[in-house]
Amino acid sequence: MSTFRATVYVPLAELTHQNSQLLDVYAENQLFGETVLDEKAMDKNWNFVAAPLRDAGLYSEGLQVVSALRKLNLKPSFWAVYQRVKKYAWLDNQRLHAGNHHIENCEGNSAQLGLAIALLLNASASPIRYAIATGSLSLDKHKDFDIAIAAVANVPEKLDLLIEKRQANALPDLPLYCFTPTHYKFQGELHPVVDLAQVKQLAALNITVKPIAWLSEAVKLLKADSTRCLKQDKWANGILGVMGSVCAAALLYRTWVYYPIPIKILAGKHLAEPFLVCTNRDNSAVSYNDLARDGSTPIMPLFAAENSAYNVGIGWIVQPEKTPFSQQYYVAFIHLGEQTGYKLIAKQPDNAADITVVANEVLKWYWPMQETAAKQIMY
Amino acid sequence: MRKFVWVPVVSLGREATGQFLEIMSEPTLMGGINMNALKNCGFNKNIAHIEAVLTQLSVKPSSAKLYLTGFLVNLSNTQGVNLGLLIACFMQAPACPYQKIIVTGNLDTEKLTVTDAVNFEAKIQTLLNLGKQAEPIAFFFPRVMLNENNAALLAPLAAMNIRLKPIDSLWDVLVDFGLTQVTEDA
Repeated sequence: MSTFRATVYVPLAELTHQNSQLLDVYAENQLFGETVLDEKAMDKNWNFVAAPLRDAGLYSEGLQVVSALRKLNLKPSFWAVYQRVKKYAWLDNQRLHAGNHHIENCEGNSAQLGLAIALLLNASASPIRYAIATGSLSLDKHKDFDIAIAAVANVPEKLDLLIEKRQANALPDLPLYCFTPTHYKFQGELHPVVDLAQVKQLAALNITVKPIAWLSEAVKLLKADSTRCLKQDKWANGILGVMGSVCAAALLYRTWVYYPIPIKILAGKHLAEPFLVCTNRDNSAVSYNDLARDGSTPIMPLFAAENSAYNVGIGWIVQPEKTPFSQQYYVAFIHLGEQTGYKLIAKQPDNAADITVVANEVLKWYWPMQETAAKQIMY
Repeated sequence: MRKFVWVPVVSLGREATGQFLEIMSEPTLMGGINMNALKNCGFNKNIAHIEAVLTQLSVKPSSAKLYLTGFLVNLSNTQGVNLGLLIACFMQAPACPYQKIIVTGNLDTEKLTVTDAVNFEAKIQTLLNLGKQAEPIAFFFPRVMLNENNAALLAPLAAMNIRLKPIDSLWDVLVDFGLTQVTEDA
């Protein structure tokens, strides 16, 4: 269960002021199965979010509120990764509760607005922890991303109750918003709430009555237009973080292993016999082809892996039809220097810069060679 | 794109008459039709009927998730919801030109014909209460209701930007949604 709680007070009143009471409703984030009620709700096919309201007789109101709230377009916070996949997780992970009251004597659906605001406050990063609301969600007017608020009865009596409770210090000693419909029902007619004398009295008691026609107006006032991170978001972030770290480590390792090695192409000073070393990309097949002229002894091929731990290939892809090899090979001319040991010696074109080669990869620089050109280009 | 089907309901057990059930359809990448969010709202039998119809139809709807965003509990008669739910399943068809539609009528879930609509006059009154719409809304209703008695009732709807779409069966709707390959023996 979360330690974060926002409470919405719903005034319930009748004309006779009997059974008037202040119902406090709140919502909490819960994972499925955290309470026994979830299992019971699953067995009974109850809605998980509204199921705790059954004891208070508000289940059907809660059910309609939960359904209607899906129309709102709350944006997930930047780090809410899970909510980008499960769009309504902010709603489905909540459980509505209704204090310890039992309100079977009170009729109507004026608690719907309070339940909706309780869900919104809990889902969002709104700084407001307490609010007051009375009103019902309407099916008469439609907007794609909003919910209309319908008039309810006994609003003056409810505001009277709030004044009484405020004066008795039964409400939090904070500035409070009291959300109401723009109109209230009285004797079958609609009257504007803003004209009630109680509105000014409540303003003097630091309770601002806000008549609203659409729920989005309350969302805007409560700064509840984006959802906060859930536990699942934190888990998803953790998993993504670990995966990202592994990928970053692998990338760093690859960068370290394959970092470019500058190679100077040295001018050959000593006579050497050319020897053709051909290798494919993964060095699984290496062939040696003696290019020495008749009568000379071929030198040992320089096989880079034995000496410098880097396989260096120079050349171009030999066209299969021009070579006896069935595969495409990279061709390198290796010279053995008498004094400098194993060296890669090649003639550098006049316009070529220093050549760099990446370990375990093939040098990209090459020069064209005819079969008969070996003698010309080698020292 | 979020799409809506409104089903006018009048036969309420508890509340005043003249409201709409609102079914919201949102596209999903895969998974066919997901009606889990509709369950436990008093329409489980309707959902079971629709699922049975969908499995037998050769025309498969695009993947979508359905929600009941506006509904009333304790409806005494939920027969009219079947057609609305079934049409909502096909609202995400790529060629479906509508973003909002209103549907009423009793669906024969075996023949897929739309027979009649209970309390049709009251439902038309519910539509009239909507007032003029900024964007055109299609109103699918049984063709059998298009008679002289109802003509005067239906006439003002055109001026309210509500387009009348009389239908005989579900196939009429599917063809209107751009599923032109549909044949009755499908």
